[in-house]
Amino acid sequence: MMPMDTEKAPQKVFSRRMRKSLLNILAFLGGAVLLSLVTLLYTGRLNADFPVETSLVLLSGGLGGVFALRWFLQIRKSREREANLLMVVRSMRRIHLRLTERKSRDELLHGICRILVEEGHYFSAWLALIDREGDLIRCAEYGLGEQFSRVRQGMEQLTFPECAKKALSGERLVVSDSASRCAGCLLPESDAARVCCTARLIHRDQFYGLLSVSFSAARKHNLEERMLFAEIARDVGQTLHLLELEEQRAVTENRFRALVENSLAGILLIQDNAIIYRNPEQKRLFGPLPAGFRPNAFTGVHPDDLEKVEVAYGRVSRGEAVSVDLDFRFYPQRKGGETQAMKWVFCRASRIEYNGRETVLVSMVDITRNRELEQIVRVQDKMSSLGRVAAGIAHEIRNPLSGINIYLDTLVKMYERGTNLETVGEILAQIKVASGKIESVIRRVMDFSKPGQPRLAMVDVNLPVENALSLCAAALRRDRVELEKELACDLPRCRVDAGLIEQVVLNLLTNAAEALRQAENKKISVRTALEKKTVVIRVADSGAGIQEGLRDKIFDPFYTTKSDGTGIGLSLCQRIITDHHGTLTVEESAWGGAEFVIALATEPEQEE
Amino acid sequence: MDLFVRLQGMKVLLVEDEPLIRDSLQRFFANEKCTIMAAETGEDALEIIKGNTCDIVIIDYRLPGMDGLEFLKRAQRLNARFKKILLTAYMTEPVIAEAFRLGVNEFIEKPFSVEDLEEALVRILEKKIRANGRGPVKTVQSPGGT
Repeated sequence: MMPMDTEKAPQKVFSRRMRKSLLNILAFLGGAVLLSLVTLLYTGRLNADFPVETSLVLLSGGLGGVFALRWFLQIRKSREREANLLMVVRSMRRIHLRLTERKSRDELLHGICRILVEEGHYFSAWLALIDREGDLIRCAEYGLGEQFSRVRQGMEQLTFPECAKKALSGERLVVSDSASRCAGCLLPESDAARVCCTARLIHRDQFYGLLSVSFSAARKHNLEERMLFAEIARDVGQTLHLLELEEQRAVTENRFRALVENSLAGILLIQDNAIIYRNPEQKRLFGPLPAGFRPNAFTGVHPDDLEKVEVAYGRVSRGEAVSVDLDFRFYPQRKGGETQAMKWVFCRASRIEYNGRETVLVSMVDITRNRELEQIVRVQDKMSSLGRVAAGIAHEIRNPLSGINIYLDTLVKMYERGTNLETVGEILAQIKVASGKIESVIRRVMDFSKPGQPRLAMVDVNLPVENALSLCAAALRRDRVELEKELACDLPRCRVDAGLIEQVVLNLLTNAAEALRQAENKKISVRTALEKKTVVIRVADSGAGIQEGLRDKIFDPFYTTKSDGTGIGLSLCQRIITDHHGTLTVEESAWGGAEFVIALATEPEQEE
Repeated sequence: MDLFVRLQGMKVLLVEDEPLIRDSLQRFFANEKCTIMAAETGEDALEIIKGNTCDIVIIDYRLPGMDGLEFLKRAQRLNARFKKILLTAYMTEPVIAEAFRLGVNEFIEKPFSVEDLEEALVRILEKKIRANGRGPVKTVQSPGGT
């Protein structure tokens, strides 16, 4: 176990045994004499002859003396052990406390040396961290002062003292006294009263470096002393291991902290309905928050978005959803309480565990600029579509306007000549028709650019479909159109504006009827059904159908193939359906004609 | 000579899908004791020129089915000869270029008044007279034209 001073070992063991035997003999004799004296005092006489009685008294007295010696030594030993244990515990407690203070490495190493000298009975201590290649990383000392700097320089150049070399080569504990000291010894040559003891610092087969202490030469052969130091070296090894873990953890934490602090997204942590963390971007986005701010008060959230924000937050905080995505508007707060310009954010709220507790993690991105750009694009799109259709509008207005001009010229000539006055009434009526046409074009253009907001309610879509059918039933009968009606019962209700849906269906029916004017086989079918969670309304005809290349174009505003069409009807229909978050598309019907398909979500996300 | 007196002996065809323009022009010409023929589509107008010789065709560019220029192309193929006035509500470069190629004599932009039409007709008839002065013009067969 301890292979130190091997050549001197037998001699040492012998002298120790001798000392022990001598002590035992002395104790035996002392005990025998003591008991004999006690017996003499008690009986008043000592037998001159040597009877058995006397021999027994002497023997038992001697044995008693030996036991008393053993007992005394035992007590002394256990006291010493107790003191040593106390020292280890105290030193390690102080060292661990030091570790938690998160001081620098150098401070910690110096602290360990100082604690060992202050708490233990060591004169000095030094510690060296050495890497796998055997290079010195750093070192610290206490109680050595100037002497150490010379050794430090040597170790930096890989010249270690003899004891350190031995320890490095694998010896767990190296004890060197004045006789075995090397030339490079730290201890002053004159100081023969000290020995130094060097140990490897190891934790779970990982080598960290060396720890060396000096203590009184009197304790040199004390086994207890060596075991104690080995214990301390093990604990310091563990401390260095903990230090390494702590440093690694700090590096990882710093890395994540840097990621979060520099994130483009605003990050917010909520625990027990209190904000426990906000990153800089979040602070920039939301501005300062008043003291005692409660996340579930939703201060500053746009009133129109309040409900959905409340619902989403509630779902995540109650654990009904792991993660929820939503966008909303809010007014950032300022210190003086004044509100800033409205902002749009896209936000994800997730349920996570943070520091062992349920936490809501909210990350959000500022999408205000995107929303503004979208708005600009929408306006530009409208303008360019207006530009595209300028020809259509011009035609629509200039035709009746030309008519009015010509009628007026005719009237002027009639008035001048006083002839044909009987037709004046007819001409004036025609002028009225013409101006009415212009008015209707303008109204339709206005309707297109500003369709009213739909007034949504939960409705069975069969209702507006029936209404539209009843409105045009007479016209269809007159045109001898065969109508097939197939409305699904128990359709789920949809959130729609029934009036607008009726307008769309009526428009589609009118279109279908017009497409059948030249057809021989006149059929229209109207069907409603539930298809893949959407309610679908189909209006099909047996007309000529719509060429594939035109299927997208027919929804363009003012695109028309009809002589009396304005090209607004279908584009308005599509606009209405889009406002309902649905789709309006065209397909080929079973009869080869056109089939218009309105698809409406059953649980639509009606956000606006 | 008065424009309308000269027109009385001519056959004028109006191709226009807008009923208000057809009606107003017919009423105006009637008031001037002239009659003009009117067609709603290019297809109808082609039928008319197949059976009749026209002197002047006033045609709208934008028509349902074949447009005004398409009508002029087909009429050219039928070897029909007449003076051409094109009505447009929205003129674009390609349309004007194509119209010139097809020998359109006059353009009238909508909205127009009778005055615009009268001026165009006067210019057409003047050219006709000048052409007559130099030599016989094949297309002029109407007795009232000279």
